[in-house]
Amino acid sequence: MRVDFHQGFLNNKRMTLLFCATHFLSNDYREELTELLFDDLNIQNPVVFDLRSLSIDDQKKAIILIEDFFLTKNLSYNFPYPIYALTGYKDDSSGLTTLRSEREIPLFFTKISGKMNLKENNLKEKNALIQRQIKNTDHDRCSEVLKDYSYTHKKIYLEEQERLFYNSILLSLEKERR
Amino acid sequence: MTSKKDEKDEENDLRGFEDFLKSHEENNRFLPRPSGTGSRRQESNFSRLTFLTNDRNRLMRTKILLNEKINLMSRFNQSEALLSLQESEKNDLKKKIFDLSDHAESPYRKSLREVFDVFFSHF
Repeated sequence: MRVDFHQGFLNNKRMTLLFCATHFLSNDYREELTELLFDDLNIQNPVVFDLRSLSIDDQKKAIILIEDFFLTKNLSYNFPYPIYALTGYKDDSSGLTTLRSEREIPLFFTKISGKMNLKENNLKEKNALIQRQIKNTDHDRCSEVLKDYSYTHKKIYLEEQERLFYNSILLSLEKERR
Repeated sequence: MTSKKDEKDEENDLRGFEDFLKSHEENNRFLPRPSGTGSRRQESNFSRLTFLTNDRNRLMRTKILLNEKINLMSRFNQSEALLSLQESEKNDLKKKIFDLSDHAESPYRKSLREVFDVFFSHF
């Protein structure tokens, strides 16, 4: 198992800002995941699981293992920071966000990390409080409401497109009538 | 005598640091202070501070979404009302389009007549 931290990592964790952690998984991914996964995995920074060395079947199984860990504990793999699976292919069936390459990691999280000064450290301490509050919300209920909201609003968007289409026909008919 | 003694003391003080001092002989300013503007260190610090501020804003928005907005969304859901309003508007528009098209001199019938005339004129 090789654990690497994207864009550098320094020893003193308290004084170091970490933007994105990358975990490379090998064929013993089941054992590695049991060591790596814990409740507060994504509380301070986004996490990337690099699964590209595994076969496609194993990649799917590893994704299911990661998802199950969070779902059974009523935790979110999107909040406060997202968990990504670097698979090399796009898999829309899983709830976990899958990436094809490192380039798809949001630029927001890929900055130069390093030791922080006092001001930055204070700001990070304040952020830690909000991160904890987000982590403590009922994610089961939130994800249900969000899913329902996104589904109905997609429906509203499609209905609106149809309405605009009829409206454009009516306008052109009225123009010709004049 | 005193000067020789001082020199000896100085040598004793520097014992063990000879290699380190030799490596810095070329540089006249021993342990130079970082130059003021435009240094890489300052730029990276500034970017980290900006990131932390932006991240704080992002976290605050996420917190408000999860703790306040989602409660309001589930209690006062407007989606069904919006969908039914759109449905009735769509039906009105369809009815108006049909009314405009459903007479002899309407553009729809004119176009149809032209198509049929061209097609059946050969027979």
